[in-house]
Amino acid sequence: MYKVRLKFAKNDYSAYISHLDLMQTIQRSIIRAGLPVKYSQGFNPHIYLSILVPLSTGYQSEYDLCDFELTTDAPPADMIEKLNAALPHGLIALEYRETKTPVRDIGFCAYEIQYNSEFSEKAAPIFAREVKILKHSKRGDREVILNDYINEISFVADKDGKLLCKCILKAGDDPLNPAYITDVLRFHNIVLQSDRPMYIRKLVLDKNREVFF
Amino acid sequence: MDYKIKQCLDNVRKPARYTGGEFGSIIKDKSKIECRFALCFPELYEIAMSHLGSKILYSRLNAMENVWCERMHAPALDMEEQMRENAVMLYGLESKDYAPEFDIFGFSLQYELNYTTVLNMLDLAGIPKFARERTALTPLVVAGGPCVYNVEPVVDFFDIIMVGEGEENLPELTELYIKAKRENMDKHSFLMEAAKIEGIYVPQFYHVDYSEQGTIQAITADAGIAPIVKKAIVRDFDKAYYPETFVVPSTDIVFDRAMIELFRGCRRGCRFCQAGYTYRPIRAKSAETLTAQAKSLVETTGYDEISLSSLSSSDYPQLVPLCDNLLGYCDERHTNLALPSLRADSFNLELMENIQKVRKSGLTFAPEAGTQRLRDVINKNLFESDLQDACKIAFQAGYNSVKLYFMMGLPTETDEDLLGIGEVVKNVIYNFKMNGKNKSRGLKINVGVSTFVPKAQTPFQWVGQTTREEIRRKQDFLRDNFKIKNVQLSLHKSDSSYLEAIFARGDRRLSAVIYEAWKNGCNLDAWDEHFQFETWMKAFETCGIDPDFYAYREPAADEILAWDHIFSGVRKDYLRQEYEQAIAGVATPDCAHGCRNCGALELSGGVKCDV
Repeated sequence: MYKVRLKFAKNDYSAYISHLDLMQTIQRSIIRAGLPVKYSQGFNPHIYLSILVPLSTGYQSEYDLCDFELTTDAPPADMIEKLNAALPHGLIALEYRETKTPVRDIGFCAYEIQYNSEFSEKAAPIFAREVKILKHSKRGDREVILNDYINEISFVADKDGKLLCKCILKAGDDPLNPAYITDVLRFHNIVLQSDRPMYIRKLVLDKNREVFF
Repeated sequence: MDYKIKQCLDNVRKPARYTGGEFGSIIKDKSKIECRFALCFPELYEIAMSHLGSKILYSRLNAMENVWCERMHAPALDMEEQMRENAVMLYGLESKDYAPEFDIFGFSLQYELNYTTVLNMLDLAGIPKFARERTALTPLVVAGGPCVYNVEPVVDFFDIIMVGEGEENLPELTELYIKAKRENMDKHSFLMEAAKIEGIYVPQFYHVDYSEQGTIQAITADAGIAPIVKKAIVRDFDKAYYPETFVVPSTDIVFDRAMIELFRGCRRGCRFCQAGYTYRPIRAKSAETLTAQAKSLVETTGYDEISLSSLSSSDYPQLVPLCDNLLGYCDERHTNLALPSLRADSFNLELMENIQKVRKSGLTFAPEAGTQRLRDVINKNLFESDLQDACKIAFQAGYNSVKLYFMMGLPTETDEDLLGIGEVVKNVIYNFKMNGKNKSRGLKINVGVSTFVPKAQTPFQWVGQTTREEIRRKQDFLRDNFKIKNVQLSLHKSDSSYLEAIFARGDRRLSAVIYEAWKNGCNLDAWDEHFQFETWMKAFETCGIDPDFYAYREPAADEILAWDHIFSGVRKDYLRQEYEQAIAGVATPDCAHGCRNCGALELSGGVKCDV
């Protein structure tokens, strides 16, 4: 038995594959790659697969993680190549290791948000003050202090002079969707209502802000 | 990423339907391509991607080095709104290039209620809808699919109709197009050349004259054009082109599995069934070929289910050896083997048990009519004892769920026949009480009763559809007499069946109505939530056409029918003979009991059917 933790990227149009669809997509890719994967028992056997940090539909990711198990003691030497030949466009297998770190260690995610609006110096000061938002979750809506969920946030102008946000946001049990940052910027008219930003997850970090793998 | 497309995708439900990029989708180098073909399916992605015929043509065309075939589907309403707002034209899923970059647009006509969606897609593609408005060689707009057996209501929109199987003649047409493009041929000359290809119907070369009563007086072909268009078939079906792999969607669709096609045509000759006649002669693939095709698909796609598809899979002569070949293989790979389209009179429990080892699906039978008398009229050739025997075996083995399909509005039908449906259902329930293995779990029955639509190229093309009022009365009658516990009864909305009937036996004069209906917002008519019956009726009124003329009329035996110039493989006189047998209540045995000489052997060059 070898527990694989796979690091993969979700680029370009593959961003639009929803979380649930991503499960089936990766399962089928594993079968196409011919990997000796472990199936569940019972009436309807399926591949054990867990995608560690769900991503909203439409978001890209340079750093995504999933776990699955092989029935062999070691993975095939060219597992990454085999997977890449079997994955649809935009999904890229990057590297793997044996699963050691538990999911509960995940603390933060680093994002880049690429806006289509002009860079503004007014953006950064907003988040230096206390910002209250209504945070939606399965348990209902709660008014929270946005700043509690932001570990780091900065704004720069990209090469075209457009607004680019780099931030580290809380992940895990009570994660913050970067869309809330955009909501606040829209509220302050820094970002146009019609602007459809590109969200890219850059890294997954543990509770000590070290890279989580 | 195209920013305008991204704008659309961020604002719609299920955006993965519009992104392409799926595993197996083909990307080519534009600079090496001489013909860009758009395979257009006039429905949403979920429906389009479930269609086997499109997969076959997609692969077949892309096997041509200088041709790039991409998919174009109908956007849902929210996506269409975004596209129009953001100036995004209909685009190929593979390249995201907009329609003006394409040469040929090939539409698959599966269902009459897709016609306005065809027009809507042409609109989104910036293509003039009427063939007479398209004077240049490019864009070329062609169509194929089951509706071609009476395609007259939409011929005004297409340059070419492909009647029959496209595996061979579609590449031939595409080669001819490339040659025409290179030589700067004008459209008319190209169409004259195309008309020589088997199965190609160029509507503008045929002219229809109408009598004072509104019936057809004559259908005349231009000089040099064959008066009858003969359907194209692949003669050696075992060697027919078949894809080694499929595009695997990255999102949910309706039928998401590997499929192999066991055989084409059907020997049963049920008189209402257009497909059974129009896919003749009956040609089967060998178990070896199918086994290889199944394995190739499963290994390259990663699918965990294979469907053995055909019109009547239990009639496939080599079914047992095929299943023997596949069962061990599927077991090892945790792959399910699905066998849809089984008949109750050839129900084999051992087979069912074996193939559904991985995942048990439900049991479905289609008696179609509630009494033997009516079953003989429609030539279903199924005795209730067959059905009950099949149910008994299944119930004893532990099945406790069954689906039964019937139709109403069949010719010569009486209320007694409708009551017969209830009797059949009650007998199935009693059967379960006597034989059910797990009686405590109870029996779940779903009964579907759809509305009969007379189809062209069948013996019932001379039958008028039952009126909407009468259908509603029958539906009320059924509901009132069907108060059986634990039985789910589903009935079809009569309005869309009425519209289907109009186009199924319609003629060229209807194109104005379809255009008018589309102009006034009709689109995605196959979906209940989008079907606008009132708008359709207004369109008929505006165009001065009486819809009842098409839906309810019973043409005389010697009347020229709008589709008489299309030969589907079954001769008109054979169909008339079958019609007369139906009215007399006499069944015709199936082809396995001896060739009926329906005319199909004319297409196979005398080679007998595989029964």
